[in-house]
Amino acid sequence: MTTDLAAHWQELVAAALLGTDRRPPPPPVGVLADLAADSGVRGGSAGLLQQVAALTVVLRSGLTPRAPVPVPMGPDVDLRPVTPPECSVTWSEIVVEWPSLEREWLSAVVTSGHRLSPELVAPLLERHRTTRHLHELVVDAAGPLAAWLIDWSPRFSCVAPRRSVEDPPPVTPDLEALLASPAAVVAESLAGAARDGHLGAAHRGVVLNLVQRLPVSSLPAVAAGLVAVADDGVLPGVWYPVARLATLRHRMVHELAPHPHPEPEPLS
Amino acid sequence: MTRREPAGGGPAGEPVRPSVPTGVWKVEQVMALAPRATALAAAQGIAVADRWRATGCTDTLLWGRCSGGSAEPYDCVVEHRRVLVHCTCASRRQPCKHVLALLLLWVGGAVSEVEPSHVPDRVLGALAAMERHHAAASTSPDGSAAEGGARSPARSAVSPRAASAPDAASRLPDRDSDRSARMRAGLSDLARWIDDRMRTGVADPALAQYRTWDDLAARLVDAQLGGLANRVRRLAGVVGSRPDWHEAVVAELGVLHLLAEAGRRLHELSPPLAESVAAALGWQVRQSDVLAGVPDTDHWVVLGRSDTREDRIEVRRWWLRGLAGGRWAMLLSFAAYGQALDDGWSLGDVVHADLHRYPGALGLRSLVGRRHDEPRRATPDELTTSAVSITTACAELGAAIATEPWIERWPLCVRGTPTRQGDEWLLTDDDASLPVARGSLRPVDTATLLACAAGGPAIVTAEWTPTGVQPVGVHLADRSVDVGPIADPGFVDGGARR
Repeated sequence: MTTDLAAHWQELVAAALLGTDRRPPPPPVGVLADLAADSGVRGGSAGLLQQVAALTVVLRSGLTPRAPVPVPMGPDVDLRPVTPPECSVTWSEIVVEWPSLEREWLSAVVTSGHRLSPELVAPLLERHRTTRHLHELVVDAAGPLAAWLIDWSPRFSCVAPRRSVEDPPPVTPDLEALLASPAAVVAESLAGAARDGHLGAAHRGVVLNLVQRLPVSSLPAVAAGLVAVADDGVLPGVWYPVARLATLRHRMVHELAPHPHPEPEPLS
Repeated sequence: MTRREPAGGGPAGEPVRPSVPTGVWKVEQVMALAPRATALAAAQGIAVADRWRATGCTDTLLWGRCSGGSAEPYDCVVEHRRVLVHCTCASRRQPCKHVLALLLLWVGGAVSEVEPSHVPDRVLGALAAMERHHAAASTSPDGSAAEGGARSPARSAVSPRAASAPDAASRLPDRDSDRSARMRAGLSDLARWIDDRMRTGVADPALAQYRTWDDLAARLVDAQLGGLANRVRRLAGVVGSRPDWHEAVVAELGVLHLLAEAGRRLHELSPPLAESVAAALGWQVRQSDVLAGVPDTDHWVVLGRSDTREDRIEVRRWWLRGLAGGRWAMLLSFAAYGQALDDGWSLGDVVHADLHRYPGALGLRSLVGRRHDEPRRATPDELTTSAVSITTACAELGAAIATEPWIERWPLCVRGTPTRQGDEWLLTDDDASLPVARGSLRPVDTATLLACAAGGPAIVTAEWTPTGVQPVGVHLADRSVDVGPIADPGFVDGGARR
């Protein structure tokens, strides 16, 4: 019956394409014939419309699933714990606000012994198709899932040529000492220099580079100090974003610290 | 609360119908009895034990005395098998709020059952009067119940179906109003236009011109048929858009014909169906009226989200499913350029809340009322409970379309494995498979779906549309991933996926 109705639907569509002025509609079949008999509608445009309306509803409401199909073999097992949900949120913020942190974030995923959460793998592979060293980091962080996905869809493979990776610029000599200083000293030095005007908008790039190289433990104090400076109205357009960088970097590393995250039970 | 269909679906070959209340009296039956939403809202305010004295019930009778605004309390009696009601208050509309409140107390278990021999004499007297009045009304020439005086002891016999008619009628266009006349004229115009298309053929070059459709849509708007105008404009965008566009256009013309015919017979339809048709035509129901209705209280799992651009408006749909009742609900938000969409839900959350459903046979569209608790992440068990097999999901879809044949979207939540056959993506389980609409997902979202499942079954929420099934979310044990279509963040706020 379903096959008959599906074939009849094609005949109705053909009739509707041409129009009943050119070709009469096919006579109703099955339940459509019963409907026509009950309603008294006979042929012509009204008959065609009645059949079209009824059969549309019948076919839609009678949606029959197909037979099951073979399921794909999954990727090899990766025993590393998956990155916690908050990391996915942090990554989405990094991508929007501070993409320069992405390399460190991916490295932190790998060095912390995690693997990428599955919902991040495809977007990261696609994002870094043209940046080989980052693509390789993604593959490393994603584990066997990355190769499996690329196998399904080669569009996620890397298309960039292999080239040497440039190191980030070194910290300027006058700030280099801060890299080894205690957190309080770092925070006070930066905030003081910002407040006094020794560090200004022209030094933004230098300070950003420094913040991305500082020990993670000093970042909260640095962020708090710079926020205080900005709150006092000193170049807020410069220091709020730098504080935000410090906060985000601290959060991204802290989330990936080897906490005892229990592996979630798979849904039964 | 409606019962959930068993996970295995109905017997093979039989359609699964949407869940309907069973048992003698449930809250939904009291709701159906109310002559209008405000009466029910007023009843809820006095459905507290402190306001009632001398209550009791048997297997046929229910009675109580309500302390009202006047010095004299109101005596209520209900014969709940034949639904004969009596109240000594001055209300001219029955059942009044006191009767409804007494019924709500009763279904809530706050009225004690007594032996038939202990029924008070005044209750028996009221019952006798009701029965006499009912007998007289049954034999009246026009079959209508006789109207009593302001304090007549016997009120009209009401049945849930009859009582729901005035309530539904108040939510429909007044049959004799100018507006209804314009709507009927607009529907006749639409019917003629569709008939002309069937005669001249859908391949007519005039249909390839947007103006042809826009003129029709403008006339429908003038006729207060905005819902149909929107459908016509969407249909205009289908012409020539894909190889099988003509099938989609013919099908939608059939549905428009169905709505036009139903609209012209609106007041002959059963109330829920009439309300559904009216909504599809573009008849608006006030939010305050919806919120005044009895809520559907449950723990609602947020299972999916999708955004669509309709003309110059972005429409966001949140799909929720009740854990206890198994019913679906849809929350809508709209945003024009520069405005914000509703971003107040998180995929995979559970919220204990009251939802108020818009009138209609399916009652899918809802408004959120009171929230009883803060949202929390759904447990794996709760997510598993929310999903059904592909076969059952198709049966639920079929039942929904049979109830409202003109629906354009319906949610599915299935436990299935995404896979590919040739260039076609499907969701499959042990018994069935369902193709995913071509082009419904961006390649990265398809890959995300694949990655989350990783060759095994996953809980996937999808939207059915006439063009196919589109996944909108996948739920893992500790997170839910949103893969639904997202609004352009350059157009509206709230256009970023979490």
